[in-house]
Amino acid sequence: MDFFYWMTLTRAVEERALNLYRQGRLPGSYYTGRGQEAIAVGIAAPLRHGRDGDWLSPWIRDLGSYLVHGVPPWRLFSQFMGKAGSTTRGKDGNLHIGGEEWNIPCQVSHMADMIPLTVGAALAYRQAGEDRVALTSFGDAATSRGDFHEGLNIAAVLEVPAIFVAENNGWGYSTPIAKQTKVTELYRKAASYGIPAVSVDGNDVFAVYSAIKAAVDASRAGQGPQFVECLTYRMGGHAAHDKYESYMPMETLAEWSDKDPLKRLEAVLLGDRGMDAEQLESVRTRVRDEVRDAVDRADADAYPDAAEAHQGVFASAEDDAWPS
Amino acid sequence: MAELTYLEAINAALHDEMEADERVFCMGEDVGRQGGAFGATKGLQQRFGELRSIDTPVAEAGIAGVAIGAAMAGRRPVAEMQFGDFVSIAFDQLITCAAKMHYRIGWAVPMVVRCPNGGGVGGGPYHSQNVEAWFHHHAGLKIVCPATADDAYGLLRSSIRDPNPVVFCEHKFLYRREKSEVPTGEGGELVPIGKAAIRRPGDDLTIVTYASMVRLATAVADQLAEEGTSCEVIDLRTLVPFDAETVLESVRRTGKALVVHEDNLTGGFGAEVAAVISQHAFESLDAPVTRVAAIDTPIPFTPVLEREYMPTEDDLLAAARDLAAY
Repeated sequence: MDFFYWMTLTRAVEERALNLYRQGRLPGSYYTGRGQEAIAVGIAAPLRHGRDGDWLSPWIRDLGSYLVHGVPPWRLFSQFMGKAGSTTRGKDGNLHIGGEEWNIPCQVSHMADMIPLTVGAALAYRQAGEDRVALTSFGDAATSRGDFHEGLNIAAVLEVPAIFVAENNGWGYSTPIAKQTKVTELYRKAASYGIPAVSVDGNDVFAVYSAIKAAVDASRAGQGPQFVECLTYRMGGHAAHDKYESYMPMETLAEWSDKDPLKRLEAVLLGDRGMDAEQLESVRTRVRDEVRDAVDRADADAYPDAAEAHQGVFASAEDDAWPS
Repeated sequence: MAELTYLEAINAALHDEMEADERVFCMGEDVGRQGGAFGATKGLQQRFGELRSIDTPVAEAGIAGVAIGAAMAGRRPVAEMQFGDFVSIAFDQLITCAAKMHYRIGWAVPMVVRCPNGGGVGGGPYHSQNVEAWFHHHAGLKIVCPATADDAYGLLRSSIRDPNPVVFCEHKFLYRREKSEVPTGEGGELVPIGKAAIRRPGDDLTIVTYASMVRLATAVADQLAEEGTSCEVIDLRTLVPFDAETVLESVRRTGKALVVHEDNLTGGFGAEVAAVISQHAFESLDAPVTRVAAIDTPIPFTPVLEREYMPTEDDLLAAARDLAAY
């Protein structure tokens, strides 16, 4: 039931944000992870949340992971709008969200850059003798970058508690995976570095959760880095401005639409789990209310003072505390 | 008190900071068991163990990225580039992740990247470069360039304690040539980041320089003193932050500025120094701000070519005499 709440919330936040973008109320572009909510939620659910919890470094499709790991929805809308209450105080946009209070570093646009950082956090936990883990997610195209290979290799050699989640959605912008790599089964790349690796159905939240939970438990128990490939499909363009209809085969999109993770979860809840439609509807109502409140709060939030542009390039010993 | 070489001073600073703070650790290619290609990390693994003096694969981007993540997760990494030249591979991590993280989310990245820097050692185009100017254009990285053994010690300790990413450009030519009495351990002194040193006071001409060129500038100042010209030699010590105040105070007094670095001329840090002087001390200037630097080519290997590339004592002397006579 928690999965249903988080996945419904994830989709609702994204749909609302996309509408705001289309209304011209969000600067820049907007990136969604529609169809990948099972992964977004499934990777964060097994983690310990909070400042002293596990490190979570998600990629652009994993909005739900921020929510599960503790970022309040209104901060996301403030972020999209470039308001002062954004986690970056308006200095960065879209899903470049983060903060020490959630132990979420702020992702960058450059593919795979966060992989070595995640290995570093895992190393820090190992050095400190803490049983924390560090998890990062990335798309299939990120496996083409050097930082993917350097990061995985170092993680394996140093035996650190890092979990790598490859979301194989078949597309890097307009480039299909067959033009990205000859090894389209991404888990095999990790295995080549000596990292235990599995591949799971990324549209089945239970499968994602179980695989990540097992990986997290293994890493936490000192068994070194783990790799989970989640098979899914990108249900739209790279970003809201992308005319994906020109390159994506519509029949494949339609096939994957039938495998929609939220629809599948609903079917399981109404079937095997014996829930009724009313219970699900009450969750949807709660989510609608929460999203409305979040947008209202972000709307009421001020833009940062122009002076903010000058601030924060360097940390000083005194300004370590960053108001949240 | 022991006389230490510049390289031994770096080693002592690492020892002392690792002793003082268990979060401090070293990592890089061959830094552990071997103690580094130059010996800068010698003895650290034996004393502090394999988790605090870490041999890594040959992967400079990975090394930098791992250091960034570890710093964010509460450690104080000192990552070594075996040669400063190889930091080109780590450039993206430093610019994209390290330099912007605090600006974006207020999360400090307290780390040091040690870059054995500079020419004069017959290293050729890939083992001799001066990398400092690759970084000063981008906000968010501190750049430290020590010229003496005691500065190498005190500035490295300060860099490790700084809450920001620091590119520490230690000059290879100075490793065994610079020596001084360096108190270490409990008597060891920190040198503040951002404060230039006046190596030689003078009244007629200001030479602004750093790292390997401080020795040359001092020698030139000695020579010119015999000729009746009193040169002030300023060692910047750190490029970011840049101690403009000390430079401007001096130039306003002497009216003449010679800006010198071993790095090549165009777009070097000297261009920034010259611009600041020209704008803020314009009315005190009695001569054009003059730069002496390497020629705008890659650094060639064979000694006759490398000598042609590098700024020499004669180059400095000629430029200083011209300025004095202007």
